[in-house]
Amino acid sequence: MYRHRRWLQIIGALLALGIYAGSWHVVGIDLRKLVEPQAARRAQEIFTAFLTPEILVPERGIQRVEVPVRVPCESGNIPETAEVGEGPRLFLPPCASPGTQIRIRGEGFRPGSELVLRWVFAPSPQLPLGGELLAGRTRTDAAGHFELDVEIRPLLAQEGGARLQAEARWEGRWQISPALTRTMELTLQTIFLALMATTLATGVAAPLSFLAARNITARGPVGTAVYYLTRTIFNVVRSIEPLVVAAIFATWVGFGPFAGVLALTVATVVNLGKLFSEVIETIDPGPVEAITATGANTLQVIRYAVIPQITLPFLAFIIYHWDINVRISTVVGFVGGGGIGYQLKLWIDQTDYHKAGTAVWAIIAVVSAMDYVSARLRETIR
Amino acid sequence: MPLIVDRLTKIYPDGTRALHEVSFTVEDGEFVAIIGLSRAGKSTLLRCINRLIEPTSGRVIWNGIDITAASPRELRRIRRQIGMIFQQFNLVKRATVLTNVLTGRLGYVNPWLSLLGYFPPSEVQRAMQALERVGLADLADKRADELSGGQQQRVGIARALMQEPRLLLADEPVASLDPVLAHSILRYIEELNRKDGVTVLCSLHFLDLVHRYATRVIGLKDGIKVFDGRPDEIDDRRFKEIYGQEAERIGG
Ligand SMILES: Nc1ncnc2c1ncn2[C@@H]1O[C@H](COP(=O)(O)OP(=O)(O)OP(=O)(O)O)[C@@H](O)[C@H]1O
Ligand SMILES: [Mg+2]
Repeated sequence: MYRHRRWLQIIGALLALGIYAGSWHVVGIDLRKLVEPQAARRAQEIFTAFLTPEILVPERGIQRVEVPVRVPCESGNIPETAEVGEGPRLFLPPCASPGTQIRIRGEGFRPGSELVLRWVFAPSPQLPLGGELLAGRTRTDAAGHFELDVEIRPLLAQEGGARLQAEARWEGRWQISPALTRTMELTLQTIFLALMATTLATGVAAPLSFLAARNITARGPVGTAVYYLTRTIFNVVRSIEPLVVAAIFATWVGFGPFAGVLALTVATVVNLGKLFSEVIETIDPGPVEAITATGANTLQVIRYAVIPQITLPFLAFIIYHWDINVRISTVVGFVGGGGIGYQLKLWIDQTDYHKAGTAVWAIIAVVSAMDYVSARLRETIR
Repeated sequence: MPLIVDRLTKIYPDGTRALHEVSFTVEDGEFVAIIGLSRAGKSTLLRCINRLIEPTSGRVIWNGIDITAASPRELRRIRRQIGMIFQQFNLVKRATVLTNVLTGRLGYVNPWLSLLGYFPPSEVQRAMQALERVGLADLADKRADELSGGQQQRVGIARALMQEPRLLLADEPVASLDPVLAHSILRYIEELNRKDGVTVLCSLHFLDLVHRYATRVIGLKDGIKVFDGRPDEIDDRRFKEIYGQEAERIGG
């Protein structure tokens, strides 16, 4: 007998060893992959980006004006100054002779910005793809003016002229980055998504939970059958992860927050349904007995003896689940459920790690905030 | 019209035989004390009368109507005329005193309006009168669980008063209260019995209370009726029959 058990132990230990060795192999655990130089570099890139999320970006601006200039001038024409453009304007002669210099004036540009002048050539036999040639650089003054002499190079004569392009560029004040705006929008969306799912689910779970409460439903053969049926449905659906449900809904109604709401609602209905029914099962039967004895009907008994006892515990569970749903909905987004999770996945796929970092920090902030808020709310209603 | 209990038997699903062929008849206006040891079947008996517990067999006939055969609808109409008070008061703790008293009227008012929490002003007035009668009018807006035990039981009585009962079932109404409070509560019940002519069935633990208030005593032992008579008929022999051979008589 004793020997027998010893053998069983040894066989059991060998079996366990085999299972673990097999699993290790199947999963492809290779710790070296974590520290390979290339992997380490990628990891460093991602983590650095995550630690420097995109929050503020400088305001960028650009102004561009183009004017054609013929080279050379036709027979004895004395060039006059032409004015071109709306907003920013350029003053310059419409033609020029090679080897000379022409004076170019600009007005209406953004004050104090970087100004680049370049020749832009149309495609020609010599320049089949067209081309660009730097003509000069300067800055606009405090009034948005500039003046610059530009040399007429031989290439211009060869091509019969070109378009002169003036381009002003500047970097302005730092401002909230579009990524942060988007992140905040989507974070709000995620909170509302969780709120909607929790609310819808409460509407469905609250009535259902009465069916799944032994002390209310399990009377007589029909009631008992209903009780076990509801319980079974709850248990079966509970065993399906919200992520899987979300993937199903994403293919059903398309990617987006609606799919996320549906998935979270299903998951929340069964969870709240179970929690609610347990609350109902643990109420004090005394008031139920007393109200029944007054000749009240079942609905009146529920209204006056059951509901006053369950309102606060229900509320506590609802708040708790809203918190959980915010957490899950950040992940549900990854499989097409909308909200911040979906955007995070897009940014990661685009290797926009700074933006992804913004999203990650937002998720951390909102999840811990909800955690705190829900804990405080539950404390106050106790 | 009398209350006729005829060979009432209750066997719980786990096989416990809580009542065995208990029969008796109560005339209008009687104050019947039900006595017996713990687990003798007192609570079961009282709850079988208004079918909070379904009897296994036997009949309960009141005012010529067979309660045990009543449809759910009829049963509610019967129940609303039978007041009930409990050892643990069984108030809705989070509701106000007034709401608790108003619930005594649920069998009479429009059920749909009552689901919305609405009671007609006349019923609210009736509730205030009931509270005045038990001396709690100024606590109407307090939450029930802010009250002391004695006060809670008076709310329980006011709730029963709302039913304008012809019969009052009281399951150890004073077992959770100290002796002074016990007397004050039983005096309210006695007043209902004497002044309003309400028939009272009341389970009690202490024989001195039985002697002081009851006009008749029914003794139960292991679900069997072992005594039925006037309180002064309980001599040492009867006492030992009800409470067992080892029991010693104290007081009473
Ligand atoms: N729901 C139930 N299921 C099974 N057995 C029960 C149930 N309720 C009561 N009993 C049993 O029935 C018997 C009578 O119980 P009952 O509560 O009627 O006695 P009692 O005289 O009111 O006692 P006490 O003085 O303790 O209140 C006891 O043996 C008890 O254990
Ligand atoms: Mg009892």
